Amino acid sequence: MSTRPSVLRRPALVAALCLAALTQAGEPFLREHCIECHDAETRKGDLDLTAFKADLANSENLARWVKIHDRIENGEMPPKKKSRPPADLKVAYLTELSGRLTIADRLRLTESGRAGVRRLTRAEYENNLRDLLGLPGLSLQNNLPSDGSAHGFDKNNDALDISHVNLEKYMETADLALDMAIATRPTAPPCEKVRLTLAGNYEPNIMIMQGDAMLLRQGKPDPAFPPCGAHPHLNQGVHESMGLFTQGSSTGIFRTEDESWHAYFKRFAALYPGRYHVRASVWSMQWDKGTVRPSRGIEAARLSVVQFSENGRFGQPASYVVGYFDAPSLTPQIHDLDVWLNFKETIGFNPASLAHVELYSIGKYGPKLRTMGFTGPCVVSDWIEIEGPFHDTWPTVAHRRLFGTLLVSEFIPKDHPGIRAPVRPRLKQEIIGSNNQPQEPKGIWTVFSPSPLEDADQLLGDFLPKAFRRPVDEATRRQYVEQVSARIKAGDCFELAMRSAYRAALCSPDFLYLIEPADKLDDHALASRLASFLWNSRPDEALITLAGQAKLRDATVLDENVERLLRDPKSQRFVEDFLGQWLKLRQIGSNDPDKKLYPEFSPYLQDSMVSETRAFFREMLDQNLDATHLVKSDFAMLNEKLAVHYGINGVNGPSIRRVTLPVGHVRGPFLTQAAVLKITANGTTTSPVVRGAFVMSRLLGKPPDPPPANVPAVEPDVRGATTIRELLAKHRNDQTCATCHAKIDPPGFALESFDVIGGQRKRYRALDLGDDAPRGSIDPLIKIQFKLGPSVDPSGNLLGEPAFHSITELQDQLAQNQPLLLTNLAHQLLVYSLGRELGFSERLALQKIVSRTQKQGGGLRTLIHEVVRSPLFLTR
Amino acid sequence: MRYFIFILALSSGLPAEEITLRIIGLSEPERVADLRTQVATLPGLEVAKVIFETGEVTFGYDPKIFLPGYNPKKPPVEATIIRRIGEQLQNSSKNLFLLNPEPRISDEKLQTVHFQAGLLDCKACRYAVYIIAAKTKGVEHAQITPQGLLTVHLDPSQTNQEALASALRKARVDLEPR
Repeated sequence: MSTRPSVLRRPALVAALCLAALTQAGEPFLREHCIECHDAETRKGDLDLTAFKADLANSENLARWVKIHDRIENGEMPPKKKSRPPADLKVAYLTELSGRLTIADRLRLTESGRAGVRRLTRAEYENNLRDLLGLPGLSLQNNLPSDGSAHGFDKNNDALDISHVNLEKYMETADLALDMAIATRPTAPPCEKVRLTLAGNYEPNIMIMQGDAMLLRQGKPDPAFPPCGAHPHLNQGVHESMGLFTQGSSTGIFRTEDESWHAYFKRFAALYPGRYHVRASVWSMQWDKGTVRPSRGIEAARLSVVQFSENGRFGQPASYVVGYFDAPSLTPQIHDLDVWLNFKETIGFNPASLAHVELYSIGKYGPKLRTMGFTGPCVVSDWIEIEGPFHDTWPTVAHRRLFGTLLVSEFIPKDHPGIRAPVRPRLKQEIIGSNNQPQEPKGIWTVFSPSPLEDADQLLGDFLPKAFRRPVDEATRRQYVEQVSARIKAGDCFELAMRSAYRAALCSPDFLYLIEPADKLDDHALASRLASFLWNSRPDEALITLAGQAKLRDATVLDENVERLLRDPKSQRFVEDFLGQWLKLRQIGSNDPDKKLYPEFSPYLQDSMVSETRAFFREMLDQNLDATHLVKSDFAMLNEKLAVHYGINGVNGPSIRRVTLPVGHVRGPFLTQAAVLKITANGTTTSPVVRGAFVMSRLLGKPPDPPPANVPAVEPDVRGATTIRELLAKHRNDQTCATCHAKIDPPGFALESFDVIGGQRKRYRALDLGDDAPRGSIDPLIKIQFKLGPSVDPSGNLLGEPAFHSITELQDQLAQNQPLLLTNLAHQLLVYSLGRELGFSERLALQKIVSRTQKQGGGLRTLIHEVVRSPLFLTR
Repeated sequence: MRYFIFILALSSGLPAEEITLRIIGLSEPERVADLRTQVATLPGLEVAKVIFETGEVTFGYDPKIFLPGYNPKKPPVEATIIRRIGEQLQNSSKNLFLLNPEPRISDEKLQTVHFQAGLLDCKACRYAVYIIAAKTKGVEHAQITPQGLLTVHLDPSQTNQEALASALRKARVDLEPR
């Protein structure tokens, strides 16, 4: 029973009282310091305080008063050129206003609930099913409609609506998951091992024929298939018929993957989803017009998983990157990895660290000797081995979670007259060129139950609480059992009847929605919230058990479980999901940099950027580093590609590792990470406005107001005649624009020290006007066409702070305000984990989290513990 | 008679019979070994003799093994044997060795022409150049060297050097002046 004062049960009345008190108490202050500019006549900022009569029960009014409160508190209002209110008067007014706003906000929350129930996001849905069924490679989220986003995150219930499209897709997706989970044969599919070379596959064969790749044996050019010289090889069919591609030769590749060609091991395409072991032998060399020499260092070979569509005839990009692997000089290195392959998936290869060259066209536009006339790096793939699928048990864990220990037997129609058996489409190899073939048993194999309804009751009694993440009452379970009963009566076999109940469960609100009780969370809701926060998924057995024992709310138990969850590899889902939204990493590929202005950009660089940001956050988490690392750091998480991009020496190979930086180095923190700098640029130019707004909202927690309607964007001059600062200066001459831009632009001006791909610069790159650009760290094989235009001016000053003249000085200024950075980080984590924005009345709780964290050193890991311990997290 | 055939009954051992056919695919002397290797994969068939210069190959075969459904009382006609050898050879070599279906051109009609295709250090590329000429109607025989010299014996009433040069260029063969 609630213990709130009874007056709080009448929100409208209290809100009206608040407003009355607010206007009466505040009237002298407002009249003295605000009305002059914000009356009916002047209406600066479109704000007329004299007409501001609406009550605080209206959420828009409340938000506006909160903004007024914040502007006065931050010293932005009254403006500097006006007379400043005496400090005691300001404090008194703010105290009064804050108190009223707190009451009004609490009322709002009481009346409307802090958060409505929200459905799972696409990623949560996929992870829930993966963990529920024990199918770690289940790929479902791309089948579902995109989620909306509110307050920066897709977990927000304001954005997670549901439509008939969602429902239809949930039905389809549940079927996909059940298809993969249910065993359809008496024994596991045979585990097979194949060794594959790139040569022998359609597209690599073309590259070899044309000179962009070559065959090698024992580390030297294959004498049976010499590298291209003045001419490309003639008649690919003849070479194939002679078996020259399939003699086990290694394939050396000079040309990186692009939209026109991909190197896939297409002679294998998985038929049986499952865990596969992949071994890959790779090395690198420096090719010198026919001679193999030691390579310039450790090159990077990218291995990816590719899912073919249709019959695999048409090229398509990799589904996801498995990783970038060392390709050392001349000596093959064998990489072992476990991957999950779904139907029609295989492995792709890309010599990722190479500059893009096209040797096939050299005969036309350059030296007339193609491969034999080329000097440059080459990544060699000897072979890969794919072994699998591996199943620890048969039937699989997924099947056992649905059908327990019931046996899979052959369905012989004459033995089951009138019973409808499952329809199993005949499994066949659909991918042209893939040699592995299905080995399916004859007949239809399915689960049989001697006592269908008893088994259904038991199986659903076990499954439903796991699926719904909480205990399920008997009435609910009975509904599902009755559904099974109805299907059996209608003629379905046991598997089909159970499948119908499972599908219904996976499309039900109990599964799709995170249902939390009003006010204080019960243990099961807390377990779900915790798992959703730190695993982006469902609670595991340990959490469910603790919740069942009502122990999870115990502070020590809760702390231990936060640690356990953070140490589990599944916490990487949190890292990726949170950063994908907080720092907008999901948008890293939303634009491609202009190829003439930024010829050194490559997908490898982009993937390295994302890896850096994730690894840095993970390092902050593991080492419990404080929030100043958002803006300043004495280390960076780098691989060779990024180190070269950042001008840092001594880092070799594609793996990301911690690199100590010299004192005062600008790199390391999120603020100067290439991923953030690329996301905040448009591929051609940078804008201090966009980057400034990003810093304000994402790193400092002070999001600027959205731009007014009908104000055109400042169009940058890519020719190189005018700097963006000069263009913005004209824009800021407009008084209505100046106020906001004075806050937004300064951090953006400092970040002008970095170009659209995060490279540090002193001058802008331009296409037409300017001086010839030095090559710098750009690969010698990359053609430079851009010029160096006007100089960058990174100076500016944050509101109320002394001027800065460089990015380093800005970093120093921002780092001094650790509470601000920590408060923002806490705020972002709360919005993400609660699935809603914080109200004004919850600022105190936020400050308590910050204060407690600061007392313990201010580390990120501590902060997460404090977030979870806080009443905000423990209450709906 | 379209084919120049010898059928000999051997006194003992396998194969029991022989037949001589003209083959396309012997682009250079090295290909003779390839032919022998290829034929060795075909049960009941072997290469008894090869005259590289004319493309004539004498195959020995054991009809009981090589000819499905063979009945000694009712032996198959020559055309069946030839068709069987052609199919087996073509399929197993993935079209690299073919029977030459054209009638032999008498020596007095033959004219020899040469083309220089530049250095061809890849056997498959040499074959690719060779086969363009070898399959042209009116060409009796062709051969090619690693130095890219293509020699063609042709019947000028059916084709000529210009027509062959055009066909080669169309197949992206860069011909050099000789």
